[in-house]
Amino acid sequence: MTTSEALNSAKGIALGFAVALCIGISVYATLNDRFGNDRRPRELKLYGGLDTLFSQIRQEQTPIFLKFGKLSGKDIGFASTVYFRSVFDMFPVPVLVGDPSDPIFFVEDILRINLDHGDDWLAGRHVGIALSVRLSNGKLLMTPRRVPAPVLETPQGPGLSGHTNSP
Amino acid sequence: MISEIAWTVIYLACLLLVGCASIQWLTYQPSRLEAFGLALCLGPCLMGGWLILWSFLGFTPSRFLILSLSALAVVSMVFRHARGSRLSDREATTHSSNQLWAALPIAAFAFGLCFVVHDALLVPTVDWDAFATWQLKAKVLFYFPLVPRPAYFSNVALSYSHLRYPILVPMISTGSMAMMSTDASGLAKSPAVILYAGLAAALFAFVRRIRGIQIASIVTALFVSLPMLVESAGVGGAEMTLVALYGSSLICLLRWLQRQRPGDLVLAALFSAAMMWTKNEGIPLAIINGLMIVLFTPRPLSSRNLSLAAGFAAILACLYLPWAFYTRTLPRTDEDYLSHLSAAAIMTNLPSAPRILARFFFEMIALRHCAIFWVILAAIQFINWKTLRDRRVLMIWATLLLQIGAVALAYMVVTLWKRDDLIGVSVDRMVLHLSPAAALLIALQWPEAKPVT
Repeated sequence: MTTSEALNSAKGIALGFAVALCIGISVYATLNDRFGNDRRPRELKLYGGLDTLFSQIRQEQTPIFLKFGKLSGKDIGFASTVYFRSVFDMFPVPVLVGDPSDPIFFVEDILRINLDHGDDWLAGRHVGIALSVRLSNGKLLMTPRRVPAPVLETPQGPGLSGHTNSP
Repeated sequence: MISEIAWTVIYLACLLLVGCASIQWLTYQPSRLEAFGLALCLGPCLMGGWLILWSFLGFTPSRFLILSLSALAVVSMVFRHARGSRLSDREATTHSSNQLWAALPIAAFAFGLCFVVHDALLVPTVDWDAFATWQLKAKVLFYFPLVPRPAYFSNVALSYSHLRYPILVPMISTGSMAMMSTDASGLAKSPAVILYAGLAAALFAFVRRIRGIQIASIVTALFVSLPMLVESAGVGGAEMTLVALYGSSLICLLRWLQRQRPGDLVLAALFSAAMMWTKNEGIPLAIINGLMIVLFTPRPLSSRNLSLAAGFAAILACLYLPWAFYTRTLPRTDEDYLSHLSAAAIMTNLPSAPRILARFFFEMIALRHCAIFWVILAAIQFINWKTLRDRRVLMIWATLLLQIGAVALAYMVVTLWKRDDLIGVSVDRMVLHLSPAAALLIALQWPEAKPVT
């Protein structure tokens, strides 16, 4: 065997080893991502719970308002998780976290505009359900509340009739 | 649930039919597997384009629209068959033909497919980008046609979903929803499965034709098992679509370099236009593809080549302008790189370039995303540096470097995000978009096995 042939053989062996290593690492990385941590089961559980809740609320066909409790540090991410998921689950029924004319891009935008609003403000935007969202010991707690129908003023006098946002 | 699965299968069959019918008309196909792979990648784009067209005319996607295009495809295939198909397996390769090598990519593909199918068909949409942007848009298009313009596109409270992002991927998913008559099923992600299979088949068949089955098997196995590809293919986002279209467009460009058939260029233009409708990152990729035609064909300044390049540009412009026109008045409340791209902004942010390129480099050697795929490319290039004289290798390197440059420019002029945060959440996808080019470079430069005498 000449030097050139030996070099070629060595090159072939090295490349073969690199291919095997690359595929091996790929398989390990994929399996480790799937089964090596509990991120996916946690995500599936969280989103499954949110999907169930919002699909029930969606049947009411009434816009909802999400009010987040005090969130800080890493926990602020829950605000965007819940808001983005609720918009996805509820569409085309609107979900509000503040004035609809305020742009929302980052989670900080949500928390900045997510103020306590009275029933008149909510009813004026046809909100039928206000959902209080808070974290307690790492658990996501959500408490729904029906927004009372607005009082309509008629020529005969106020408060004689009203309408509900629910179908 | 059973009817949803049945309708999903029918939808996927429709995508395949449309792809096969179109590919037969567009260009000569030297191998059935290559044609099949390209058809799998083209079918969803054409179906998405058809549904977008009707949406512009005021109709939401429906079974009737999907089945009518599929029926047209069947008629076209019958007609084409009667005239004599251009599909052929006769272009024999001169390379070794030990068919056992095929077991390697088949095993790697089966491994990846398990996870892609799991994500696309068996679990709800849980990927953040997928449900916040792409699948939300799919629901919008399911309920409302594009004309009159739905309130969604002006709703700044939904700016996080990137109101002006292109809608091909959502519309392909909407087609699935329309077939199932529901928006509540995770099966809308199903077209990703055929795109994954399509790119794998096209890459394998193309490389087998030009370099032989051994190299094709190695490159395909390396590519389809890439962790980042397997992770993101079936989750309902746009990455798989962009990667499949980009890979297909590069294959068509290489075919064009080899044979100079206008049909290959038309196909490359269609894939490139579809990339522009898939993600904003597809716009520079498509433009770079056009540049490659001008720069790397054998006689770049011949009138024939110039007219073909102009034709390529015209196809891109005609197909993309409707979306550019539609979105020109939409709120620009999300990150808008193009409008920030100026010489002054680039010069101001030039010092950040080395850091951005370093992040690219570190992502390319991140084992959990890319294994040693890019290291192998570097090693092959080092061993086989003489292949840089090959026009095809130069072209793919040029596309790769220009694309990295384009993404680096976008990172440099970012305003809404903190630059490091944006790079942190997106550079893995940017590198994934480049991986078909890397796979082709490995294929073109892999040393031939020389038998020891």
